[in-house]
Amino acid sequence: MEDVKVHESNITTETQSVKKQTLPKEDVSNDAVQEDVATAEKPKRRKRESPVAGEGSLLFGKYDISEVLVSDQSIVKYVRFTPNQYPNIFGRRKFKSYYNSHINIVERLITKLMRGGTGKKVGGKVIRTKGRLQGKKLKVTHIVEDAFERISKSGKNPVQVLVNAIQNSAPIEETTRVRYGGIGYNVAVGISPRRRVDVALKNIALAALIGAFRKKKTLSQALADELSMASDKSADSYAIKKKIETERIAKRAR
Amino acid sequence: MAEETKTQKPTEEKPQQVSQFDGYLAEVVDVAPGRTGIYGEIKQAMCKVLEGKDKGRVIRRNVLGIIEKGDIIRLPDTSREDRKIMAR
Repeated sequence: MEDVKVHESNITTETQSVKKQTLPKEDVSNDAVQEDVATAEKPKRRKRESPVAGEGSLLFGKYDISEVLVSDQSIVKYVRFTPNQYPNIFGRRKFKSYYNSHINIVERLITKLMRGGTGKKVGGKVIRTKGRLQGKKLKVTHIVEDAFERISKSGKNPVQVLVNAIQNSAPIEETTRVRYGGIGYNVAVGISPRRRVDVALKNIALAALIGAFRKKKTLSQALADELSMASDKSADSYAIKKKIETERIAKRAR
Repeated sequence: MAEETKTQKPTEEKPQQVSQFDGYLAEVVDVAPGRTGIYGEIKQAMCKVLEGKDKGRVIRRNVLGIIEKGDIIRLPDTSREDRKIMAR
């Protein structure tokens, strides 16, 4: 019997709360109507239109996102698109957890390119950008825009090319170090889908920096070459070379 | 007619089975509390296999990176099962 009473009390509180919610709304609507009548002549502030992702949203004003297909099921959750012409979140999610996986995939490529170098020696050379790209998001967005324009000359959708490149250059297995009795071993472990996207984007960005270092190629040219090569699974691509290398080491250490 | 249909069937089925990517898909059912590895960078996940001959089996695997329930990962092989990596 007590249970039933509890239920009844719950229901009554719900109905009360509903009434409380509904009453002020009606008042507001009435007020709004009166305000509309009063301020009909004044020019209203235009409401910001917020289109749904994938509907009538063109990246850089040219490329259609609704055509893009992500065929790898594990990555689908973490390859996202937002209906922005120039994707930039201005660091607003920075202090929320896992903000990286909720922003546009093109913006992620941009932020990965804003780096000071390769971090370690590549082919016996130290590659540094000397502050040319660090903290300059607008400059790098123009570089990516230029690279996309180069890819689109071949008749492909550059966003689809980027997605294909990520899918092909995301590794499956990696290794970690383990120490037994003073001797280090490598042990193979799996990779989470978030990290797969991170590693693929990092390697694509590094390949662009390496391709443009002390050569006639510009950075946008090198990025366009790398993206188109990785989407075709050609072995000249740096990102795919890295993927094959990490998987080979992991397979040996199983 | 029966022979012709038999010969046609495998040619139709082959492109469906062969996927574009390596490995087998597996869904994360549960993530074990705590971490393993020397530096504490590894988590253990219970994965339910969605493809291949071990379909429907649940395996424990060591996974690198941020992972949560409902994620789908790719496993190179579904036969072995991982243990905890001890600090010493």
